[in-house]
Amino acid sequence: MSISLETVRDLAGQLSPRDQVRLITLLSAQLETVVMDTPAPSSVEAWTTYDQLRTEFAALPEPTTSAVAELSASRR
Amino acid sequence: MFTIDTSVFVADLTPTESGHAESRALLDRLRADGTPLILPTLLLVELAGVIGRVHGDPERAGRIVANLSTNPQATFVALDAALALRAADLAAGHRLRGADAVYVGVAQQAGCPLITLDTEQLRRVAGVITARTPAAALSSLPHAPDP
Repeated sequence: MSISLETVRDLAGQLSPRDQVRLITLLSAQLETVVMDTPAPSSVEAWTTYDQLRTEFAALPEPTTSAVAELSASRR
Repeated sequence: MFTIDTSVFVADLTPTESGHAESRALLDRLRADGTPLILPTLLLVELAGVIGRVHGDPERAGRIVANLSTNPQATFVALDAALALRAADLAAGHRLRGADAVYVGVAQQAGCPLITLDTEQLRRVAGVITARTPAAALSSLPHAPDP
């Protein structure tokens, strides 16, 4: 049997405020486990992807305005 | 450790920018040295905005932001209440633009120089913190060891 997120949200809405806090605490602990078990990308991987994006940007049509000037202007 | 302004990443990604070569050389050097980059989360917003406007490419803007935000060499500093108050003091006391004050606040808090190509930012923050162009920052680094 599957259950939708909407159904869970509706059911959670029927809990007392105290039990809603307990539910959030429980889910937070589960989420922390998932996050801690997911390896962060290494610096090498991140920079390799950055290099690919550099190449993609270099292949884009030449911009008609200076990006640095545009940035500075947007700060005024 | 350095705080890098959005302008340096923008120039690195845009070969036609006059500061492109020095920005790329600096980022490559910092990457090779594993130098920590202390960046305000504001950088992600500015970078996405300027790429979206100038290159007209929101999809790549999103990818570059996702990439930088997960780079372990970069530490992103959020604009929380403490940093906002520090930046507000700096903005009022030194007549800085809002974004400049956030960058100065982050660099000051981390105790590191700010690297920027935004000439107005460079001029305004001089005297408050150490601020350099990428070329000046590169020349301040010790010579890289031979590979």
